[in-house]
Amino acid sequence: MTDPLDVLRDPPRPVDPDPGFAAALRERLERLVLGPRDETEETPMSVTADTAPAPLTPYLAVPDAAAALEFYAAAFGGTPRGEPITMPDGRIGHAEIIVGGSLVMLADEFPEMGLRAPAAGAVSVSLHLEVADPDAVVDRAVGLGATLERAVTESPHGRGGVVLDPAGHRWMVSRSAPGAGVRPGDLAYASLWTRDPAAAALLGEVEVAVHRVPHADGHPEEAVHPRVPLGHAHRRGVLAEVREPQRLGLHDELADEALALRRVAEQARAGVRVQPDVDEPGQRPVRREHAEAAVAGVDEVHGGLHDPLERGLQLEARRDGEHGVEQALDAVAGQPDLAQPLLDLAEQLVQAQAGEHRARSVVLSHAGHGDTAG
Amino acid sequence: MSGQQGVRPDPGFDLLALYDTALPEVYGYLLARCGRRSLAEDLTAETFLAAVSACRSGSPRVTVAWLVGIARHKLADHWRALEVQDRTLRALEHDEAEDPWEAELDALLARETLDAQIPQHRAALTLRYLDGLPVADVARAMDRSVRATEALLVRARSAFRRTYTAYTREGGPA
Repeated sequence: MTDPLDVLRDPPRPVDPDPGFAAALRERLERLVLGPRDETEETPMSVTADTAPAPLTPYLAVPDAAAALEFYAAAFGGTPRGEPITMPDGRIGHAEIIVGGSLVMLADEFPEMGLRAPAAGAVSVSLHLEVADPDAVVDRAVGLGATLERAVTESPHGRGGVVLDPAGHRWMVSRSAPGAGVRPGDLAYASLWTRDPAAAALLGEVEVAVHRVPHADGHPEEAVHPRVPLGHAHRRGVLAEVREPQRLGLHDELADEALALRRVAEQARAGVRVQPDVDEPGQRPVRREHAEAAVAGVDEVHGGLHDPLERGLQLEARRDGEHGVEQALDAVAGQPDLAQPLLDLAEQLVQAQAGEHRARSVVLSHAGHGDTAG
Repeated sequence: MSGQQGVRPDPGFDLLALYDTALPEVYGYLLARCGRRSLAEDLTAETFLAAVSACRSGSPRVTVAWLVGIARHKLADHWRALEVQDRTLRALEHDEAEDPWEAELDALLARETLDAQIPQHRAALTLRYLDGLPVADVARAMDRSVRATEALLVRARSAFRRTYTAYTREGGPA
């Protein structure tokens, strides 16, 4: 059966378009075909990651570039990138090695260009290398010919030591302290963790005290609270045996801001439930209740206030048998609301170490840059 | 990175080489179906620009027929966009049974009738009759199921017939 609509059949017939249009479209096509391609297809991630130049890259002068490459590879786990470029006179004019994810460029000394390795006792630039295990890395470096300048020690900033590599460059091999990222304007807090069933005995007895501490620069503090030694307030990240009531220092700069923004309720009381039978690693022994209502929007407050006074909060654990399982936390000395953000954030807690019968103090930055555990 | 890309010949160059030959074909195809020069130019440009990324992402043979296929999709997209505006109109439609239509149509009047149809019908009828595509291909070009396309064609033919009959009674469009 024929379809009357077949009369419409109209095979394509070429029609020359307006020459101006044809030329303009050709130009657009050429731009698109010949121009830079913004597609990301078929670009292996590793290539971009490896080749992306950092904004700042150290370029070292060393007495023996080949030996230095070997040393950095062996001592610091570096990965040479590309082949060193050898000059006509045999010196290495350029070499690259990736150390700890960062690119380091180096070359032999070119005294005629004013490029020399550091002389002993005259180092002007140090390289800070962040590693997971500073003890092992420093040991390895020393074993491979580095000079130990400062043995690995614990400090408020973390754990680390300093070595001079065989080329004379000074490396500060460190593992930064947890909470080192906390700056005035951030909210940080500490929490107690334990695998010990004595968690109940500990955490049921927490009483929060709020103190202000003067900034390190000794700025006078007009607070009415008992002044606390600065060092005390910095005891974040410190492992502590929790047998007796403990005081743990905390930073809380943001709470001050929250106060200023009047986001903190007049009356801050948080229920803390203690579960005496914590037996799963990672199970949280502490539950915070009602804190959100008390601190409406506190997590909307971001950093930005750089109060000249660093604020400190003290947590004071106190024995209280009557409210062993569930008890309110009361701030003991003024500004009870300052404690509230801490409790609010304590939910985000991180770490419980299996078999460790200790409470850990953990400091987190509120700035949202992840958490660090001590 | 750039070296790797350089090894693979860029099919975009084939497209550029074919441009002079393909342009009148694509433009002629579109002009005959959408009737307006400015619209035909827009759709022609869209066709070629889309062809650049299309030929780079897959590896089709860059031919005139391939380009006309892209143009067909661009045309269907255009009608679909119009169809969205006409949604209220479509809501008033109803399915109707098709009784055989035995007639010999006047080609010129048939084209005028086609131009008067709503976009969705126009798209289906154009692909089915002007391009002479099988229903399955019409369905593919319009991103519809075959069944839905068949139903659409039935409605489109009925509407076409009403308009055409009206035109013959009145002696053509006003």
